[in-house]
Order: sequence, then structure tokens, then C-alpha cells
Amino acid sequence: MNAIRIAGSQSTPEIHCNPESGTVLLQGDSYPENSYELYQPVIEWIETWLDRHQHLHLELRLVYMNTSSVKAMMDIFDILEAAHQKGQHVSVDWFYDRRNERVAEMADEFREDCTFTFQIIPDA
Amino acid sequence: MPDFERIPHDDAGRRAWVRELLGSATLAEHPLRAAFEFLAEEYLAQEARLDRMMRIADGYSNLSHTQSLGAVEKYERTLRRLEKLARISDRYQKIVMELNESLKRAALEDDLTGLPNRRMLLEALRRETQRTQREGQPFSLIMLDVDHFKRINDRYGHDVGDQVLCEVAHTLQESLRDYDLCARWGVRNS
Repeated sequence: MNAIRIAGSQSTPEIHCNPESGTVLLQGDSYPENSYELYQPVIEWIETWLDRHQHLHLELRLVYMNTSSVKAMMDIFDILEAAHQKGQHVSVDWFYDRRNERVAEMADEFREDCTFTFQIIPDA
Repeated sequence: MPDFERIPHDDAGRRAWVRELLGSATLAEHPLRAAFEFLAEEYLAQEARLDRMMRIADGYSNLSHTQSLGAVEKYERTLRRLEKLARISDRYQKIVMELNESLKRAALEDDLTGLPNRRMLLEALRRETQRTQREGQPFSLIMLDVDHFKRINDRYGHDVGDQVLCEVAHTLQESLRDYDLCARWGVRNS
């Protein structure tokens, strides 16, 4: 599988789908003009990966998100939840800056309904 | 020898009874034998058809019931998702609004005393100057300097100096009319 590597910008997060380690990294603010265009390849990558492998790790350092980005993240978590229900090993680590506790609160909102391992971790 | 008198109560019993009568030797020579045979076969075929129709109808009814349960479940799930999306989105929006508010304050207020800062004062001066030109009404400007302020800093330290500045700001603010503006012009010159 090919890697996806997209540099971050002021309004879009840095994205790295890494087939070496089976990890997906999203980092930064997310309020793109077209969320579908940005997230659809990531969602497809995750789906294809989970068709072929038994594990996936998601590492997040997201700060601000607009509504369509929130929806894209919810879609991703739904895919992970379905994989988890089938017995695949999926996990999420959501890192946040200690000075911005509210990010942790938002991550906690996302975590509701997720039964796989979902950690919310203050960045060292 | 079949019992000609007693008609069974259940469907299966009735069908067996009719079949038994058909095969009975007693009826072989009966003048109505052909008519009975015709009606009996009609009856058995109708019964079989009715059974089949009921099974199919029940099947459809079950299917549509299952489908409608599925639709209700899907609808409820979509609704829950939508509520979650709105909840999270609203919280993000609230964070941005608060951030905006604090940026606005940072841009227009002096962070120590909370008085309007030089930027806001310049904006007010521009507005008042234009109004004066328009209406010919003058405005007043008072510049105030706290004399020997350095002595306070030197003697009691900067924290106390800051407190004094805040007190001065507070006192000035208290004695203003609604439409007056008291702003901090200078940086601390200690």
C-alpha cells in the first residue's frame, strides 16, 4: 500500500498514513474548504488497510475542527469501531497540549460510543 | 370402514376424512360418486392453495416488519450521530468565540490595568476629531502623568508599582461619565 503524506497548512492538518507501521497521524487545525476532498483518501486508506491487516493505530494531535471535519472524524471512528467489533486491533491516542484542556474535553466527546482503546494523553 | 357421520373438526382431519371417503368401496357405486369426487378434489386443491397463499403472505409481512425495524434503527442511529455532531461542533464554535473575545480584549485593552490601550485611544481620537470637524463642537483631552512613579518601584518593587497603577486606573475609571474614555498611553517607565 502507498503512504499518504500531506503537509499541514493554517487550515488543514498534517496527514501521514504510514503502511510501514500501520499508523495514521493527523496533526494541527482542521477547517478546510473541502473536508470531503481532504478526508476521503484517508478514509479509503483506512478501509483498505483494515481489509488487509488486523491492526491499526491512530495518532491525533488535532486542535480546532470545523463541522465537516468533525463529521469526517466521526466516520473514521465508526470504521474503527466496526473493525474492533470484528476482533481487529485498533487503538487511538489523542494528544493535547496541557495548556489547552478543552481539547481533551472535545476528544472525550468523540470517545463516547467507542469501545476500542482510546487514550487522551497530555503531551509531554 | 369410514365413519360417514362424524366430520372431524380440524383441517388435517377433514382432509384425511375426505380422502378416506374417496377410496371407500361403499361409495364406489353411489350415484353421486362422480360429483363427490369432483367436489372433493376441488376442495383439497383449494385448501392447498390457501395454505400456500397464507405462507407467502406471512413471509412478506415478516419481511416488511423486519425492514421497518431496520429503518427505525437506522433512523435512530443517524439521529444520535447528528446530535453528537451538533454537540461537538457547537463546543468548537464556543471555543472560537471565546478566543475571539480574548483576542479582541488583548488588542484593545491594556493587559495590566484593563484600561483601553493606546490603539483604542487613537481610534477614539480619530473619531472625535472627525466629529469636531463635522459639528464644530470641541472635545477635551487630559493627559495625566504619575509623578515620581519610579520611586514606588524602587522602594516597594515592581509588583507594588503594578498595584499602584491599577489603583490609579481604577480611581480614574470610577470618576468618569458614561461617554468618557480613560486609556493608558504609556508603557511602564520604571
